[in-house]
Amino acid sequence: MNRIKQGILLLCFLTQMLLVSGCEFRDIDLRLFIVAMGVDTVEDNPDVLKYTFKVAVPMGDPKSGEIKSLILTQVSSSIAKAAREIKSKVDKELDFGHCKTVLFGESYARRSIREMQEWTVRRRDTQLIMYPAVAVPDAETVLNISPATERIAGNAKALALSEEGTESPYIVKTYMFDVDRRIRDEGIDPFLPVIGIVEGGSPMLNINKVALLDKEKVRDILAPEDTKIFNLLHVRNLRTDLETMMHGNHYNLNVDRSRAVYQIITTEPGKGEIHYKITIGGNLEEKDDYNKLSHGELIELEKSFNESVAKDVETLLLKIRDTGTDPTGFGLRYFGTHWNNATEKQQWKDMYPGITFKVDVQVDIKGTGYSR
Amino acid sequence: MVRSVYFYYLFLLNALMNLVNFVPRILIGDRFDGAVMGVMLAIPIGMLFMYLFVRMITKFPGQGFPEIFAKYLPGWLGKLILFLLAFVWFSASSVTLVGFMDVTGRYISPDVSPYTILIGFLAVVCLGARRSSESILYALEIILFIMVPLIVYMTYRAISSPYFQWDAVKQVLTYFWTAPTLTSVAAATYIFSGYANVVIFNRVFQKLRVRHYWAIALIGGMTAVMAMLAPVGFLGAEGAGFHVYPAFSTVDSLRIRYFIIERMIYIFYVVYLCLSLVNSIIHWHVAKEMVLGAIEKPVSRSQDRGPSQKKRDTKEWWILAFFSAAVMVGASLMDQFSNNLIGIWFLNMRLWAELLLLILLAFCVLRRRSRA
Repeated sequence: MNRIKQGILLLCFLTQMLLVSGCEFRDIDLRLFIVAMGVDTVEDNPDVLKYTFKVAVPMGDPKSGEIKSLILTQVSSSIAKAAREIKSKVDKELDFGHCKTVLFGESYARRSIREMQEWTVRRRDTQLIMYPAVAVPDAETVLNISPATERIAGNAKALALSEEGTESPYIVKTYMFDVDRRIRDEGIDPFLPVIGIVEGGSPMLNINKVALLDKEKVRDILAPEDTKIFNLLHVRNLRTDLETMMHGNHYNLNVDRSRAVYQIITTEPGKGEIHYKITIGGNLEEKDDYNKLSHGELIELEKSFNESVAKDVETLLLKIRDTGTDPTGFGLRYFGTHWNNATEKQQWKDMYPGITFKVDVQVDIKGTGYSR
Repeated sequence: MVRSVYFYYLFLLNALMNLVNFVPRILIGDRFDGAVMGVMLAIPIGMLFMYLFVRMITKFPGQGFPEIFAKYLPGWLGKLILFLLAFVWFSASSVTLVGFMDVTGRYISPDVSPYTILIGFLAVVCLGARRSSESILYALEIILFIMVPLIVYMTYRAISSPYFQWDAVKQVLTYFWTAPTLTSVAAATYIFSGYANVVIFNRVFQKLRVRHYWAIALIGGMTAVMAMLAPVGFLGAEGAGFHVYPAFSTVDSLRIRYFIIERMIYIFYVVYLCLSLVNSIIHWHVAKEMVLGAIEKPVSRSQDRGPSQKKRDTKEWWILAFFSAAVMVGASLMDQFSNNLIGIWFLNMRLWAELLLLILLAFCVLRRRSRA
């Protein structure tokens, strides 16, 4: 008798649980997935912002190659409000769980990215591994572009930014959690890739610049060539090309190994020098001089590469220093290697604007390709 | 009867449990205020406690605390202390359960009522805690065999990620010489307190022999260091303090590229769900046996299902029902901050409770010696 009672109780209990969870969970066909979003400033009204959401429209067969997406825009005073307001424009539940890309329009990013950035970190269904980027001219324009090569709605930007698809030395890679910690920590500043568009012709994206931010707004956007050098400093084994001139001829190197390490040395109280050591390995890919290359010339060429890369790197480092930002995290390294915790922050603040760089590059050309 | 290896499992479970909720949060909260030194101190303290406990408990082969107390302590005192200890074990599991309920609501299913989730957990824990001590240990073994490789994999992925910021870790380590707070020592010693479950499980150990203390110290130390520094490496030296669940945010920052799911957090959640439930089952089993020992005459365990067994069953159900009700009420009263505060209280309380446990045990050993 007791057993039966227990059994009935258990059964009641279990059926109840089914009921409770059943009515609150929405099935996948009742959801709309936001794949990318962006934020822009609104001209002549500084209190509101324009939020753009790119929604993937579910298709029957992903192999058919047909993609459809929907752009929803909402002018609102805050992102949380905009997300609710947009809900009354659609028929299904909006889901941020698959949102991969967050774009900050250039004018917004030059003002402050904090509001949007905080929201994405705080909200639980937005991933910490989203790809943030600055959009030029603005987020809405970039979101509206679907390159002809795109197979899944909104996928092109995420693929390019993740380096899962294309692997370009001009694309800097960062995640939302990375931006967040760089904002929070002293001695290191965030950077973001810049997505532009190709003018004229078929719609295309162009990601070839990096935006340097102080804790919240864009201070400077580096040119593509500087971005490449920037990547060389921050990414191990960057797949890139490097160029040099020797005896009036152009030479290009295909880099397959690269590594940049640095050390901060206090030369005298209040003065510091950063010693960079960059090792690069690769093969010759292009040369303008069509004669045979001798071993002696190869060694000479390596030297020439050493000098030209060192010069580029030093120029870039000084340029970054003069913007007042610290995307490499020299400051954090300084704090991490000094034990005077109370005074190190002030020391570094005084030191960084006048810091000098010594760059040592070791290029090792393994071969000249198929021909000499 | 089980072999001594289950002692290590009990330790390992407790250590791994503390990679998540309260312990990392407390250690990270104190990262500039002596948590590093706290961890360093906690390793010898935790090991000393464990060593003394094992030395003493092996003097009472096959006996749990209720039996030992009944023999060597005055009746009323033994009962009082059993109730007190039961309360410590009960609170250990309830902070885990309520914490995990919160995590589930935050990261997995915000649409489901937290009470539904909690009822689900409680059902599993109540049913599990009623099994015999041996069955629970066997279940623990299987769970660990499945989960530990996943934890090792996740740890490896975190440490080897190019986004792991060693400079931030170094920055925290430069605060080594700051005097530790009691809370951080209490939090870090909890990693080593898995041994305390032996107060009941000693009944089923064939002949408890613990060797390889160095391995326990190593694993415990590594766990403590990981609990504190992995979030720092991913979320920043300052940034780690801004996250409510640093461990979950850290894992959410990991991306698995070549796997069926992209966010590591889902694997992590399942792993820790299993570990939390097993941990709670063990704690409730211990607490239940303590209460039973206090309100019942000691019975020999090999008794068949007679009328007294049936009575015991009823009592068990009442105890577990009371526990469940207490957790439900507790959960309804707590918010994020009070939950954290109670976690801190619990961790401090249990350090003293552990000390009390050792003193009592030493007292019983002396009594036994004087009687012999």
